[in-house]
Amino acid sequence: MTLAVNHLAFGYPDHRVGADLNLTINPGEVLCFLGPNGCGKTTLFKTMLRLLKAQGGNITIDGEDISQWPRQRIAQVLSYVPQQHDAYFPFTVMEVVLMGRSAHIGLFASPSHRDYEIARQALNSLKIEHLSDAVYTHISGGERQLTLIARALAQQTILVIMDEPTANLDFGNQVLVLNAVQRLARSGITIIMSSHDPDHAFQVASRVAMLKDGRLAGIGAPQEVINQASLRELYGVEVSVMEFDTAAGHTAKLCVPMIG
Amino acid sequence: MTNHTPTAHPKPVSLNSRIGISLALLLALVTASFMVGKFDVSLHDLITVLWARMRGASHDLPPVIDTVIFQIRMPRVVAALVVGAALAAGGATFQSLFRNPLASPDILGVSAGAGLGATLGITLALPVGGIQMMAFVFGLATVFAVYLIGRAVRGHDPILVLVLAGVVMGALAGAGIALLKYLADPYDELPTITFWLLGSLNAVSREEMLVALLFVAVGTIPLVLLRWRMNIMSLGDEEARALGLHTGLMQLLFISAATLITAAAVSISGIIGWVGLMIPHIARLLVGPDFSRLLPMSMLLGAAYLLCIDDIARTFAEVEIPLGILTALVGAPFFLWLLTRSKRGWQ
Repeated sequence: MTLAVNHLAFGYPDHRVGADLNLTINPGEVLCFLGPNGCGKTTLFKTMLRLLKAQGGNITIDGEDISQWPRQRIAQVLSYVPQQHDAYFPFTVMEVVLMGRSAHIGLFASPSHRDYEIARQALNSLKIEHLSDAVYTHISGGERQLTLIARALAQQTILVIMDEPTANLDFGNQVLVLNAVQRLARSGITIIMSSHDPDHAFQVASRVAMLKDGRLAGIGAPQEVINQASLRELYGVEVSVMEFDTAAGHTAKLCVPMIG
Repeated sequence: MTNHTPTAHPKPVSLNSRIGISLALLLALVTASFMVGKFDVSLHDLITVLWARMRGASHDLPPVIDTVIFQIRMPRVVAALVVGAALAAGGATFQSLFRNPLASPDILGVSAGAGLGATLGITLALPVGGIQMMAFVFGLATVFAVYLIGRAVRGHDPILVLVLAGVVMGALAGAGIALLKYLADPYDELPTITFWLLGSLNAVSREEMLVALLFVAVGTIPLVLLRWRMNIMSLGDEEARALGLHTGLMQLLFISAATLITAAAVSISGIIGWVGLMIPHIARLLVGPDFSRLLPMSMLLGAAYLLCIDDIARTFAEVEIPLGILTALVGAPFFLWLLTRSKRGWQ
C-alpha cells in the first residue's frame, strides 16, 4: 500500500506551514522526518491523518484521494502514535490497547474475545504483556509510549505514523522504543516517524526526509543525506558525523555536535 | 521499566461483590424509605400490604397504610431513584466527554435554563404540570443554543467553546431568573420560586413521574449502546478521530442524551446540585473509568444517594429541608476531601 503526498499545502486555517510538498512513501520502509522545532513535522502528520484539512493538493493511498474517505476507513489503513498523550482517566493498559480496535468494531459493539486476543498479541510482540493490568496513568513515560505503539499495532494498519516516539524519554526508554520500531518494520509495517535526534535515523530509518520551514530540504538514505553540511543547513549548528566499526562488524555513523 | 506494576483494582473486594454490595444497599434503602416518615410503617406491615397487593387480595390493616405506601411514599421513592440516577448519568457522561472532573450534568446550562422556564411558569401562574413543561423545554432550548454557539465559533477547541458558551448562557438565564424574582409577588410567587430553585420531590405526582421516567429511559438508551465508544471519546477529539470515530456525531448524540435525561429530572425535582458532580467520582473509584461499568454504577449510586438525602429531607425536621441545600452540605466537603485525598483529581 503506497501513501503519496501530492502538491500538498498544509497548516492551520490562519497559518500556512508548508506548500507544494511532494512525497511518496514506499511500502515497508521506515521514513524518518528530521527538522527543527516548528518546521511542520506534526502539522504534516496531522494533515496526512486528515486531522487537519489539506489546504491544497491531496493525500492518496494507492492512488485514491482520501479526502472523502469515512474516518473509519482511514483508521483501518493508517494509525497514529501521538507525541504527547495526556492521560485523564485511570484506564488499564489493556483497555487503552483495546481502543485501537475501534475502527474494526461495530458502532454499538464492545470488544470481543478476538479483539482481546489481538490486543494481547500486540502487547506480547512489544514484550509488555506484564503491564496488561497496570494503570496507564501510573506507568513510566517509556511504558506509556510502548502502550500507544501496541494500540497502533492492535489497530492492524499497514501504515503507522509516529510523532517523535522518543521525545521526553530517558536513554534506556529511547532504546526500548527504537527496538519496537525496528520490530514493527521487520513485520512488514510501513512506518512514518519523526525524531529530534539524527542518530535515531541512522539506527532505524531506511530513508530520511529533512523538513525545514514546511519544505523538503533533502530526502534519501540516512548514510547519504545526513552529513555535516545538511545538519548545518537544517539546525544551524556544527556537527561532525563520525564513522566507526561496530562490534558486529559493520560500519555505523554517529553525530557528534561541536560544543564550544 | 519498573518491577512494581500497580494493578487496576488493588482492593481485595472483587468487582462483582462491589456491585453486589451497592445493589443490596440500594434495596435496603428503598425498604427503609417506605417505613420512615411522619407516619411510621413497620416492616411487617409493609410486607403484609405489598404481599396482599401482589396477590390482589385484601389485608386486615387500616386502609391508611395503603394510602401512605402507594399514594404518598411510592411516587416519591421512585422519583428520588429516577432523579438521582438521571443526574449521576448526566454527570458521568459530561465528565467522560469533556475530560473534566468538575463537569456536572448542568455544565451546558440545562439547570439554569430549566430554572428560568420554571420561574416564568410560576410567574404566569401555570399549574404544576405546566411549570414542569416550561422547565423541560427551557432546559433543552438553553443547551441547544449553547450547542449552536459551539458550532458557529470555529478555530478554537470545540469542547472549550461549548463549556464557555454554557457558562455564558447560564449567566444569562440567571439574570432572567433574578429579574423575575425581583418582579414576583413576595407573598405568593417568590417563596414558590425559591423553593423550586432549591429542589424538592414533594410535589411530584405519579403521572409526572412516569413522563420523566420515559424521557430518562429514552436518553439512557444511546448512552448504553455507545458505552464503549465513550471510552475512546474520553481520549480527546483528535485521538478519537485518529482511531476512526466520527466525533462530531458522537458528541451530538452524547450531549443530546445527557441533556434529555438531566432536563427530565430537573423538571420534576427542581435544581439539585452536586449529585451529578460527586457520584461519578465515587463510581469511578469503585469500578474504574470504563464507561460500560461507570454508567450503571453511577446510576445505581446516584439513585441510592438521592433517596437517602430525600429521606433525611422529609424526616429530619418539622418542615421539609430543600434537597439542594442538603446535597450541597454533603457534596462540598466530600468533594474537597476527594481532591485533597488523591494527587490526581480523577482517582
